[in-house]
Amino acid sequence: MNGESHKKQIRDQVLEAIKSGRVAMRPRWRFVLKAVLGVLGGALLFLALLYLVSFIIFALRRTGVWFVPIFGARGWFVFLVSLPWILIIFSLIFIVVLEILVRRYSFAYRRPLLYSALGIIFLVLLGGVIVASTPFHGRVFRYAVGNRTPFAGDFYRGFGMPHFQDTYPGTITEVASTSFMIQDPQGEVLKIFISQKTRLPLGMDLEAGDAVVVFGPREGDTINAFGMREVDEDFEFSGMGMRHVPMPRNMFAP
Amino acid sequence: MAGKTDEEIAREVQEGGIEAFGTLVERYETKMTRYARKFLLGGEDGKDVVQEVFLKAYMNIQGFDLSKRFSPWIYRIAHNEFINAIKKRSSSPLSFFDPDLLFPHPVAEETAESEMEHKELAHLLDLGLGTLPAKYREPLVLHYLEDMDYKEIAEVLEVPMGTVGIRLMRGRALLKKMIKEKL
Repeated sequence: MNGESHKKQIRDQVLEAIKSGRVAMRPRWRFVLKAVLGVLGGALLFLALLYLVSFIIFALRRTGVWFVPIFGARGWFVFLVSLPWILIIFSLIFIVVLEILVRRYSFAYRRPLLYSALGIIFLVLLGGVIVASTPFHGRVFRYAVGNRTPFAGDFYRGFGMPHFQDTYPGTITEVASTSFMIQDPQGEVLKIFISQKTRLPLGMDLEAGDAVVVFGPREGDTINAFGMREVDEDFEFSGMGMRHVPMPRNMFAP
Repeated sequence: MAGKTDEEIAREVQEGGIEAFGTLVERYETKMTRYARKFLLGGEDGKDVVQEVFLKAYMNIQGFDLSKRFSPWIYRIAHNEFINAIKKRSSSPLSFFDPDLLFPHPVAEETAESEMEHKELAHLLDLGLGTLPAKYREPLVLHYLEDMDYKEIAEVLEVPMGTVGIRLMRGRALLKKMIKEKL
């Protein structure tokens, strides 16, 4: 009896609140809008992440840092200290926010946090590598160098052009028996000396016009190469007249 | 109304039927009151919180997807309201982040329990529920008193099923240990 009256009481109080207008039903469009904004926000955040990660890869490749871990422990050290940590921290913050956003959806909360976080990281890295392999950032960078972009010019110039410790990207302009000349992205000409100790993980099949990254200490305009490798043909440096001179194949033969 | 499903009634409410909502309140009031009493461990605000659950449900009924079941939806609203109530009561911040959410728990699959075991655990809950942390109390209440399976609890709490399993397993162990110590 008591329970029955208590039941009536709650039902009646709820209905009274509704009928008196104290509580109103939210219109359907609000839920649709909320869902659309949620998806849109997630998509924008994902695109921003793709942009950031692909830019990090682009900047690392452009400055040559991307290629130095192949030169061993010293290469790894330079790679780690040269990473654009501020951009990486921003990317991690974006990943955390994206994870919080997707946890509201059943496809995410039905799985352990680790899976959805790893899924996001995998997709972002994969997308970042794909975007970085397109000419997108290269084009914006060229516009930025020529002060022809209305946005992000400083960003591209700031992260895309610095010189890192012992890392010198450039294009071969001349080849001699134990040395060659490279021109770096800023147009500076450097003389590179190689010895039998120089690490050449991709071999010595080099000629003028090839893009390379040289790793080693610099004295004036001279670098005693600790390591050197050719990089992809799309690793471009502008404004250089190049002539193709084949590198002697037996230059280090005893 | 008697022969209609919750979802059919929810459709009527979405179309403006206030009295139809009264039927939903009647159907869920006992369950919500029991859930509140056991999860919130009594308290003067229990009835107010239950009332708030129904008012929130009415306000948000247009957001209910009619292709899904009504029961987990209203339990989810109740869960949120009860967590807010616990936060208000508690002086220390209540953290519902659980490291168990991070990793998969294949060992915590749903196991078949005999009716006897189920009843025994439900009885033990009455004795020792107050001593359990909210994190373990809630899945135990939903499983043993509201008769929900792991999947339903996972939907209400919005956590993986493995996490439900691990919380139930630890909750049961904790409950048995505390009751043993009491006796």
